[in-house]
Amino acid sequence: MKYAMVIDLDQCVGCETCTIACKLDNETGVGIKWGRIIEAEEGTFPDVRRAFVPLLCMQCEDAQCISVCPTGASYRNSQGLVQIDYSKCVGCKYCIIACPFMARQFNDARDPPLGVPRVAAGDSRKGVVEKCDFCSDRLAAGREPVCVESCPYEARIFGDLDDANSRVGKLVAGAGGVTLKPDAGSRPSVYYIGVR
Amino acid sequence: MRPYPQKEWGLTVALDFFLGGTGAGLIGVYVLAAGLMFDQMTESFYPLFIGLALLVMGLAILMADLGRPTNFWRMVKGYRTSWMARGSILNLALLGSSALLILGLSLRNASLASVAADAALLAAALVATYPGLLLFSVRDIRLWRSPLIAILMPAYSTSSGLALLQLAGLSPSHATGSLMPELVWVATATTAVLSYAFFSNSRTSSKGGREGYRLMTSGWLRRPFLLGFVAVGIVSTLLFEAGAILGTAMAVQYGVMGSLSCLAGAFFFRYLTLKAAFHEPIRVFLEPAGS
Repeated sequence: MKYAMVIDLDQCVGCETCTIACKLDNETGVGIKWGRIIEAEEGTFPDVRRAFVPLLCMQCEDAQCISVCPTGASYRNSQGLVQIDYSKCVGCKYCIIACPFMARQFNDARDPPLGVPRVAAGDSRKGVVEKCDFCSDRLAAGREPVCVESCPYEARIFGDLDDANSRVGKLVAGAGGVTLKPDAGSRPSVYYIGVR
Repeated sequence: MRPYPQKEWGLTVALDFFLGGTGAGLIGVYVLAAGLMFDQMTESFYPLFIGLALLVMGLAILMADLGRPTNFWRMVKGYRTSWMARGSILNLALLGSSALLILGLSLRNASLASVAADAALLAAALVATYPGLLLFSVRDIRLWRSPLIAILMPAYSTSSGLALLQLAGLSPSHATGSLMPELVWVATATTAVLSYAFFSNSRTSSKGGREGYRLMTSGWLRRPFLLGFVAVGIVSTLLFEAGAILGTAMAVQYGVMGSLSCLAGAFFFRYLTLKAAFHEPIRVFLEPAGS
């Protein structure tokens, strides 16, 4: 099994519902976003193209974050997903620099704004590096990642790339899914379609 | 999307690289210069204490910079793939071998000192080199993907080690004679030529490389680059050391100023190498608009 995500840029309108759903579900702290959306724009009027590009951990097959980690805190779990063992992370930030996709963030343990309750899960990640884990707890429970479930435009499709009959497999093969930064050589598991 | 800078490593990591590299350079140069002439080494071996102090200061800064400094000891586990883990092990090896060398010299135990000197020399060379390999391992930052970085880091460690030895006035005279200013001058000239090749190559290597070069020549890094690195680190060092070589009445003062300038240059090189590093842009549209 190889989990993969397909993001249809023709469908994404940059509403950030996925970003908010991710923050709520994963209880990330102030300033921490496991998923984000960047705006890509190219050309000059009238030949201009614009797209909203959701970014998250690309779950690379050749994950540089794992190889540079000095403590083994970044690892691949039994599901084949790149994870962080927060109890092992020393916060050296080497993985943040090695990641070509801005997928990791350092939790500098800033206190939440006045009146906002401190969340329990966020506290355990103070002083360490965080990132998206494809909602591995939800996958274990047979559910899809929260960003996929919450997208009102169904711009994100999740599934098993090894299954040729899966929607993900068909989209990558049929719609010509591309990965970002192919030159980086990390072989991401997040594909983008609708790139024109 | 434009190239984006790495913001995680800055002044503290530059200081760590500088202090660790200078400490390793000082220990390495001292052991090399003194050779295994045991009697000469036992006369004045406190450059080793200075080298050790620099290493400890570098490690202390690194630990203070870590989110969880108490977990520093865990950093050795990833030695198979991570240069940071290897660097931690090498730093500890250099600390241990240098301490053994000091012990051997203090006890006037020639065999212990000889073995420890060999080990310290090897560890010093590796400690001076590993930051370059650590940076080289980041594939997305093209400035660091130059093989020159693996040569420049030990080259700067050597030049700053020589400068510190000259500054301390503790060169083992039997080995180096009065050649210390000449050695610092040659080391500085060599690092200047290599640095020019390193930074100018980045200009043509990629979009990220061009952005870093632009930042150093016309952005906010212009002042540290032109004043700190070029004017003080290279030009002043070469001029002051030339004055010391010519043997004028102010030769000693020129030597001191040359040493300080050389050390400043070694620091600014590390700082600029970190701060001028840009990731390559994320490209979504593979064909130009309108095509």
